[in-house]
Amino acid sequence: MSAVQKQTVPSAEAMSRSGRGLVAVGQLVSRVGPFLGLVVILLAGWEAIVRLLDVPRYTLPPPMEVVTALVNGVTSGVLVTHTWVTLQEVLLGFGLAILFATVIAAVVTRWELIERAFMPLIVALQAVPKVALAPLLLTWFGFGMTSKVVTTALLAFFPLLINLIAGIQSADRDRMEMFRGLGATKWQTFRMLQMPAALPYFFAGLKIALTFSIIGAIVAEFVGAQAGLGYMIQLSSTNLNVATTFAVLVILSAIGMTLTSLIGWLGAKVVFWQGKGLDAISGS
Amino acid sequence: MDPAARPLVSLRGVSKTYQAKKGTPVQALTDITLDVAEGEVVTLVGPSGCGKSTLLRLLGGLHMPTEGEMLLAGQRHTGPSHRIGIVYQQPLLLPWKNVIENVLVPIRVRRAKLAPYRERAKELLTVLGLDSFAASYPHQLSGGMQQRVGIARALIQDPEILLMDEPFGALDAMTRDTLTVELLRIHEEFRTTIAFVTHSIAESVLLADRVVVMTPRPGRVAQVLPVGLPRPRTLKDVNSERFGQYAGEVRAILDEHLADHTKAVA
Repeated sequence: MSAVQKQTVPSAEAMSRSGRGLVAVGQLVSRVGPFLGLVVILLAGWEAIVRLLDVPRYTLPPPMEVVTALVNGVTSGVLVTHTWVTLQEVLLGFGLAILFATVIAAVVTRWELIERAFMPLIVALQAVPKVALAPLLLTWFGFGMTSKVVTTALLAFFPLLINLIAGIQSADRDRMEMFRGLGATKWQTFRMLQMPAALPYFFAGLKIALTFSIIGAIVAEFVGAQAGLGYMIQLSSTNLNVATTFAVLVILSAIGMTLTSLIGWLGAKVVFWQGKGLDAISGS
Repeated sequence: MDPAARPLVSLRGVSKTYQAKKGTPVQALTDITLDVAEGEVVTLVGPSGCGKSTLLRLLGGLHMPTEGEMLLAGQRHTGPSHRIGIVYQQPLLLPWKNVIENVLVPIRVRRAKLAPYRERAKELLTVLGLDSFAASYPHQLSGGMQQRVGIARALIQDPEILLMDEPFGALDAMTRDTLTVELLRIHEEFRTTIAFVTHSIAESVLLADRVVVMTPRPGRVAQVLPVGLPRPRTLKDVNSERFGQYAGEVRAILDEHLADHTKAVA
């Protein structure tokens, strides 16, 4: 920055360019600065409390130990293996949930009879706390990955289904009528109007479903597993290796943030028209 | 109008009653008999709720009449048809498709070969002054431009009749005038038969060969008024004395029936 200020070239263009560069750096600092500052303060506070109050390591390890546990876990490959297991469970369950929710939403919104038959059931099932089914799913599907994938899928399924149904039904009456006026079949109307109109709802549902997927995988591993990050949390906390427990939490949060921003990025690409001041495509 | 020519659209004693979910059925239209000749512009004018939009929806095959008969080129008209193009009050574009793809939606629905219509779509966009916006998305266009796309979409199948349901009603006054002139020009160019619903008397007179004045609910045809203003017409015609006379006549018929209606209700 000082180099920029010392620049003696008086070219207006160069000045404005460097000026713009400065502005960009300034914007970045003002955007992330407060957050980074807070993180530093929190970590420092954490370290200080642990040292000053002489908190035992098995209660709360200092941040540096968590970092060490993380680095050791990654370099030894232990955490990588378990991360990969959980990631597979999350992605498989998430994928299954998307598949089933899409098909069922399409069927339910297509035939009114099916909607009337199934909607009360869906609402009733949605009211069941799905994590409560994890022990049952364990006895049905065993200690392997299957029971975790099923639990994950079950948790992610409902928010997706509810959002997709709302999205498909969000196509406004006027556009529905326009398609009717063109002589479109129900399937054409679904494919060309209702499905694209549901996309903003779908992506909103994906974000919720992702959080639920991670919860599903971890809870299912808690109930009974031989691998995965949930298993690691249990193992390390029983062994009073709390630094590793924290390291796993850091990994979980990183997985969640990465996948959420991936979905957000994809959503913005796909649903590029959203919120662009158009005559209402969906009931406001 | 050549009286020997078979009318393109023919309504014989058409009535429409809606069954409301609760309560008494609503009679929207009563005993409408109306012929529209090929190449003719007919405007439907009347107070809100007089059933003029319902009449247009019957013509579009979106609803079926409760009584009476509708003929399209001599054949019973029983549902939506690609021989009819409809322009709605809102442009109703698909925000995820660009302009030219929106214009081609009717062709995709019909599962016809796209290539020849792609050329036709480009021509229509040129006629409507949108040739440089073919790849733009609806949210990048103004309301007036969106409605031009709506018109192009209705014209893509070369319909025998163009139905327009207050298509400029949602636009500001200046855009509205521009599009009215444009519609006059399109009619000069393609000689498309047009049925145009409006509640603007000026619009109804400026566009029409005949103005169909309707009564308040239940909608009936109060009077059909031929407009003898020479074509091509422009916005300047609005200031002419003859235009004033026609507009005055429409106003008088509307007022008379509105007064009757108020008396009857009271």
